[in-house]
Amino acid sequence: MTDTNNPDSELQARIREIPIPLPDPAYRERNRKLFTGRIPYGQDSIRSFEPAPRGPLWLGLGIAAAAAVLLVFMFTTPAPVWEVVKMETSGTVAINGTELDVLDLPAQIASDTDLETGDDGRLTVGIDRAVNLVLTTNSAVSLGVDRSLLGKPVLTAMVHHGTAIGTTGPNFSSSGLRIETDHARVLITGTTFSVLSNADTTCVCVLTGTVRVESKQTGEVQMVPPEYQLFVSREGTDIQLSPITAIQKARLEEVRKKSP
Amino acid sequence: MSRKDNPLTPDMLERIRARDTEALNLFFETYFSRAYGYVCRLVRDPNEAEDITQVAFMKIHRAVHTLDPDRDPTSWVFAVVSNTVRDYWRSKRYKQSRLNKSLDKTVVSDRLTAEDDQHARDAARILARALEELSEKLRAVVLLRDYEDLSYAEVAKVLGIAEAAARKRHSRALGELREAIKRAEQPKK
Repeated sequence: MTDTNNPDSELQARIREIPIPLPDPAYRERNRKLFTGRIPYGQDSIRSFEPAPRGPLWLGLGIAAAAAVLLVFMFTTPAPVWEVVKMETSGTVAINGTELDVLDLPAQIASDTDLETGDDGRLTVGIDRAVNLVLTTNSAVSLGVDRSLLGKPVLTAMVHHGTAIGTTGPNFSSSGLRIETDHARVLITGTTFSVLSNADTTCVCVLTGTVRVESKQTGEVQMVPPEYQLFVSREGTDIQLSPITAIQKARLEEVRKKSP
Repeated sequence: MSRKDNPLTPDMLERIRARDTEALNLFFETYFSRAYGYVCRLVRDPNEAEDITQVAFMKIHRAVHTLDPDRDPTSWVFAVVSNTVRDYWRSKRYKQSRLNKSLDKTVVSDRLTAEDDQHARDAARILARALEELSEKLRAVVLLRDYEDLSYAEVAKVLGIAEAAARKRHSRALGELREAIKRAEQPKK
């Protein structure tokens, strides 16, 4: 809208010439499918217009029956299984306290399994096309599978000490992975990150995406953006956000190249 | 897209109210990129802009059956988007304020398209930078008035302010932009 008598008209015309930021094509396409009803909006699923019910009793019985079938289905859905993706060592890895040679490692890892790498051990476990976790040397992690309130399987990883470096793939669901240490809960909303833990401190480093970290001691929540790291102490009072180091960045970039 | 080019006729809006897939697609094509650009310019963070725009469109999708087919829905769409941005600011600002100032990366320029003429590119960059440096309140008015071609009454409705306040903010915004451009161009003279 330009008024030739308005002295601001030239400035307004120049403003309109500034290119507008455009959405990422993949993001735009996903939202187009959400908006047109081809895929639901998460738990607040919005579908195409449905016809009106014939009567309240019929509708109530129908909803109850559908809900019962859905709950049975969700609670009986088989949970995903952690698999051994790669072992980069000629040494050993302990599974549930038992040392195994690399040649003896099982292809799949049962639920509630404790993994520990030694001085020369580096193990990668993962879920097909969803997530990979790299356990570096001298690390101990307990893997498991839990169920959400709605029965959805949730992968769990408890990092007791050492380092677990994670990267996510196309089948990853952020609500399907929970990582913890003695001091913090880590919710993965992004792609490539690492969690380092010792007796006193947890450090979460993020390369791409964003990670939500909660102190178990104080309940304080901090978002860790890309290329930042967050330290959480055992007491939970010392929470510091700072840029990641060049070394950390290089390690994460190396893992990211091998994302599932 | 200017107001007169809006393809959402009353018949099409009726179909959108009925959640006709093709009509919803047209609605999406008409507004989504514009809404994203508006949000991105307001919050100056493409990642946050993606989340905000998606939430806004989820709200729009929920309420699309309430559209008045006899009225242009543009101001309604931007009102929902603006309210979503406001909700974001209320919920995120406290946490955002704790982050290091170096997080304030001006990523909007990463998405700007290239231009061939160097002089035009410099002038556009100066103006784009000046627009980014406006306060959110003033920037919102400029984006709605000058990009989306809304009237002052519609801008006021979108932002939940009086029409006189919308005019005043727009005038102040243009004044600050002129000053900023003058400051930036002075060394070249």
